[in-house]
Amino acid sequence: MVILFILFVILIVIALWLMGVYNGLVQLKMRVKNGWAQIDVQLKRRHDLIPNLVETAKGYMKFERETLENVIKARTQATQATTVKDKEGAENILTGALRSLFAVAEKYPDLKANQNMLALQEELTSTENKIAFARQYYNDEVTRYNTSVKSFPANTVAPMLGFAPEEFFELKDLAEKEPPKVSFT
Amino acid sequence: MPYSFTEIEKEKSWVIKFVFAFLLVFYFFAAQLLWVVTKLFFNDFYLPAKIPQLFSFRELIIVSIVALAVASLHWYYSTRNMIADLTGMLDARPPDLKDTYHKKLQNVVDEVSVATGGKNISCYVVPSSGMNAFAISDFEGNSVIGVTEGLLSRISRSQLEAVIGHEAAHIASGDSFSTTVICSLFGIYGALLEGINKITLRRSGDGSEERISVGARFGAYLLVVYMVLLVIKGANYLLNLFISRQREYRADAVAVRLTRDPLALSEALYLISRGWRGVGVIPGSLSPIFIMTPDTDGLEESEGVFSDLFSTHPPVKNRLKILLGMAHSDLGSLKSGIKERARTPVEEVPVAAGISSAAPVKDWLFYKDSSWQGPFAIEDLISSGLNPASWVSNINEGIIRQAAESSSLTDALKGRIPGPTKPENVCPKCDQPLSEVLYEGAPVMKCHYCGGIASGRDVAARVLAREDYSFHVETAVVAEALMKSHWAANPPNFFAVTDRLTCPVCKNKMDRGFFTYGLPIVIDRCVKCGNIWFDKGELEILQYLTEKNRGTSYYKRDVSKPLEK
Repeated sequence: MVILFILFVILIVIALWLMGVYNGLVQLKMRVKNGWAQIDVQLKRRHDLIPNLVETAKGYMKFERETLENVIKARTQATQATTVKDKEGAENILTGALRSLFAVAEKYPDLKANQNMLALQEELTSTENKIAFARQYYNDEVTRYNTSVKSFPANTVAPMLGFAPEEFFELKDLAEKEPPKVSFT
Repeated sequence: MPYSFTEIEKEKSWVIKFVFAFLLVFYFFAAQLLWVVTKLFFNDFYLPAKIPQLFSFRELIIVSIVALAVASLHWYYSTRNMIADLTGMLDARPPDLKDTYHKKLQNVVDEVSVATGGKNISCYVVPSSGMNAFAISDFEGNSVIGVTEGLLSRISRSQLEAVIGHEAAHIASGDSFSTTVICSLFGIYGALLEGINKITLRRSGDGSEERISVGARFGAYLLVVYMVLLVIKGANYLLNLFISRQREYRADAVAVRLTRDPLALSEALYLISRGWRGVGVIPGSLSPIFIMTPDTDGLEESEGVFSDLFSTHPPVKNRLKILLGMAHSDLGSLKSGIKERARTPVEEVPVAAGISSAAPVKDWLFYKDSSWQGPFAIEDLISSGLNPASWVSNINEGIIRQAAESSSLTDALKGRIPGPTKPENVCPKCDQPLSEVLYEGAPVMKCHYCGGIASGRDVAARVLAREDYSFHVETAVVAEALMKSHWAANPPNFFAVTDRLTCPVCKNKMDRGFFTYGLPIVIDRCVKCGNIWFDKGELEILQYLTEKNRGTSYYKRDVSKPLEK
């Protein structure tokens, strides 16, 4: 009788613990999902801006067809990507294409002074920053989630409950920031 | 974010309970004191038996009920509409998205809101050239970040991002909620007190008979209000005891976590600490919601138990030390790293060359440089500097008239105006449509021909806060000469003005007068809509004078040398 009672108590404790682990992981996973949704929104904004940018640049950059076509092609590929890894690759190619577009645009002072172009550049900078921040938020949440999934003792039951580690999302920055000055004094 | 939703809600309800309890205790003691004093006043001192009856259980209950009622009323009226009350007090308004600076602010706030995981934050601009920023949030979770015009125009994008990150950290961690509640309960009344002080000071300086009698009538009333406000301000000081200095350190840390740029935040803090933070415009009792106290005082900058208790912000040098430690940098390299902003020459609207296929007919004579020249085609006339006021004559007609009187010339002039125009907004001097241009990033209307600028009152304030453009050589000379002519001492008789201009926006007559008595430049101001008309160069002279008063490094040079263009 006593043994049965003890077993019953142990079972209840295990069930409560499982419930706690499950709820905790669900909460973290929802945050990861929310983070991913934010990235998606910002990437879409980026894709929406590019046709405008190309249209404005086209009027000035008559001899740079190839650069402009590369940007358009990279954008099309990026809009079609679905998984995290695919998106990562496609967005990095798009960043590369945009970088070369801006490098070429340096040669056209008229284009650089164009009010429309300046406004677009501000929008693009803003969107790039938003992507960077959304990525930062997502990766932070993934780290927290993965840590929980992989740490003992939750790692013994997490796969059974259907929680697998999530992937990070890495992107290159459009503007390469100059390294900060460091002094060791 | 390290703060979960439930944690914030828990802290919120704690703050509400705590502050309400404070109010209750405060009013209980106030009411009890008042009651005892009243009783003593009416007490018959020849009957000493009455004195032990000062406190009775029944009276205590009545006093408690009164205190509860007053505290509830105070709570209800102060927290009903916190965001609108506080932004109204600071005269903050939503950004004008046509303005490049305001657009940038909106973008940066959106960016940082993404970094916090999608918090809904709206932004406001305070039309002051002081440098400061604040954050407030209310019961429903609406949050506002406000930035002054001065800060917006004088720090770089990454620095702005760091400042917004700091304010967003206050919002995300929930402590902007507690400061907002405290400021709406007491800070607003403290601000009113500061306002009354200002009014009474101005009154005593004003010698006119009428004002004094009005002042005397309000005097007694004002005194009572003054006393009440004084007590409430005292309560504000007490409540500041519970606003920890630590929360600023914490917000700095979270801001670095959000933007990953400790150097930008330390640069921004350094620049804010060195500049005018809006004292006089921003009430000091609202300082808890700001990134740095508007008023510089020794208390904020010192350490120890006393200042830890009574001040709301930690010393700047400590904040900088921590941030620079994160960035592996030091104050010396920070100072040397801050460069003076590069200025672009004043932007001139370029005149596009006209293209016409038909051979132009040369039949116009043009009076220029005190002689008649020509004949010219219309295109040549315009490219040689035709104004609506220039004297011209057509060979075929043989009449001398002004260009504005000929319909063909007026049309040609209209066609030359760059930028978008609205036919209803015409120049009060040339009768030509005004073009909408961005001047120092602010949307104004400019006449392409006479160079006059029409701008809203708040837009003019924005322009005066900004320092993008350098000045024309002659601006400094004219400005200095105007200031030397002592217009302020002998104001011209503005009532004798006969050629009153028509407001380009609402078509009412404009009044002529000084911009302010501190900046005695004669401008035309619409009585109805507040629009201001600046003749060519006047806005630039005002900019020159305000910037000189502000004492920017641009002026720390030899005055006798002309300014570079």
